Amino acid sequence: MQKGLLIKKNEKLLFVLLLASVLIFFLSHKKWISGLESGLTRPLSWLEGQTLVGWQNLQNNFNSLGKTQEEQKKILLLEGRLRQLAVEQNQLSLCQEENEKVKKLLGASLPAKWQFMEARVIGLNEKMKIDKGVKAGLKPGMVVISENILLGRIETVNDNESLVQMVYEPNLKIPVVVKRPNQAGVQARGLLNGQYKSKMILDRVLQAEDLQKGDIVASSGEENWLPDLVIGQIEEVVPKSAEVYQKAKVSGLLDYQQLRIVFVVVK
Amino acid sequence: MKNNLILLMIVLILAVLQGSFLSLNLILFLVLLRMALRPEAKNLWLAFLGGLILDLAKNQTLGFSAIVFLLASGLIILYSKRFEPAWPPFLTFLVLGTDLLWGRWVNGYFNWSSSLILGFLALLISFFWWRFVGRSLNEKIKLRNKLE
Repeated sequence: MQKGLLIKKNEKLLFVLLLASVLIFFLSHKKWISGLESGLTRPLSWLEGQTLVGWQNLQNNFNSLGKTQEEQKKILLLEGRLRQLAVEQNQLSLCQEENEKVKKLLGASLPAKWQFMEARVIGLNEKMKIDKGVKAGLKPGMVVISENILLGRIETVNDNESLVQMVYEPNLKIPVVVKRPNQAGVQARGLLNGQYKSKMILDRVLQAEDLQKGDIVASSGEENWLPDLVIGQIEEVVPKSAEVYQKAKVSGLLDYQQLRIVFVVVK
Repeated sequence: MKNNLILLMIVLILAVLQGSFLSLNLILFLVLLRMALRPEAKNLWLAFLGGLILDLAKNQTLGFSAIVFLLASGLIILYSKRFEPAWPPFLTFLVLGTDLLWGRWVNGYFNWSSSLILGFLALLISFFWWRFVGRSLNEKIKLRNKLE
C-alpha cells in the first residue's frame, strides 16, 4: 500500500518536472533565456578552466615521474621541433607547388591573409570548449588551430563560450591531401575519419596512390575547411587488400589533452 | 536538508569534472543508481537539477539532460510497479542505453567505451546491493512488519 502511494506521488512529480524541463528546453532552444544561461555558466566555466589546468598539471607530473628535469626539457624540445618540422615541410611543399604555378601563371593570386583570435581551452573531453563566443565574433564553422595544426571547427556558439568539434571525433570526415616530406605536390587524396582519442583513419585513398609511413596529412580545403593545414602524420599503412581503396592510421601531431591556448581563424 | 545540500554539492563537482575533462557521465549514473536503489521523490528533483547543471557545464541546450534523466527515472518507476528496479541486468542495460542515447544526441556519435564502463559499474554496484544490502534491508522490513 505504502509503495503504491509512493509510486503515485512520484508519478505526479515526474510529470510536473518533465513538463518544466520541456519548457526550459524550448526556451533555451529558441535562445530566449541565453542571458540567464550565460550568467549561470560564467562561474562554472571559471571552475572548469581551473580544473582542466589542474588536471593537465597532474598528468604532466605523472608523465614526468622517473625522468630528470633535463630529460623532460629535451623531450619537450624534441616534440616541439617535430611539430615545427612537419609544419615547415608542409609550407615548403606548398611554396614549391606555388612557385611552379607562379612560373606558369604570373600574377596568380596568393592565399588570403588569415586573422586569428586567441582563446583559452576550458574543457576538453569529447569536444573542446573555449572561452570565446558570439560576443567575441565567433561563428559556427570557424576553424580552430594550434601551432598551425588543425584542431577542428566551431560547432556551437554561446554568448561567451564555444564548442569545437575535434578532428578526431568519430562522426567527422575531413577531405585531405597527403604530402611527402621533401617532395613537392600531392601524393594522394582521401578522407580522414576520426576515431576515439586522437587516432584517425585515412580512407578513400586509391590503391594506385602511394602512401608511406611519415607522410604528412593536411586539409585539402574542400567542404568549408581551410586548405593546407597540417592535421597529422601517417603512422601505419594498412596492408593492401582487394578493396578499391586503401587505408592508413594517422596520429595527431599534438597532445590534444595538453592544449591550453588555441587560435580561431576569424577571417 | 543537510543531505540534500551534500548531494547538490556532489552533483556540482561532478558537473565541473564532466565539463572540463571527464568523459564518463557520472551525474546520469548517480541519478539512475539512486532512483533504482532508493526510489524517493527527492531523486526526481536530483534528476531535474542534475540535468540542468550538467547542461550548463557542457554548454548544451538547457533542459535536454533533465528530460533524458527524468524519462529514465520514469522507466524505473514503471518497472518498480511489478519488479525490483535494483535487479542488476535491468539497471545495467538502463544505464548503458540511456548513456548511449544521451551521448548520441550530445556528441553526435555513440560513445561505446564510456557507456560500457558506466554499464559495468552499474552491474557491479547493483549486484553488490542485490546480493548483500538489499536482501538484508528486505529482511529487516519483513521482520519489522511481523513485529508490528
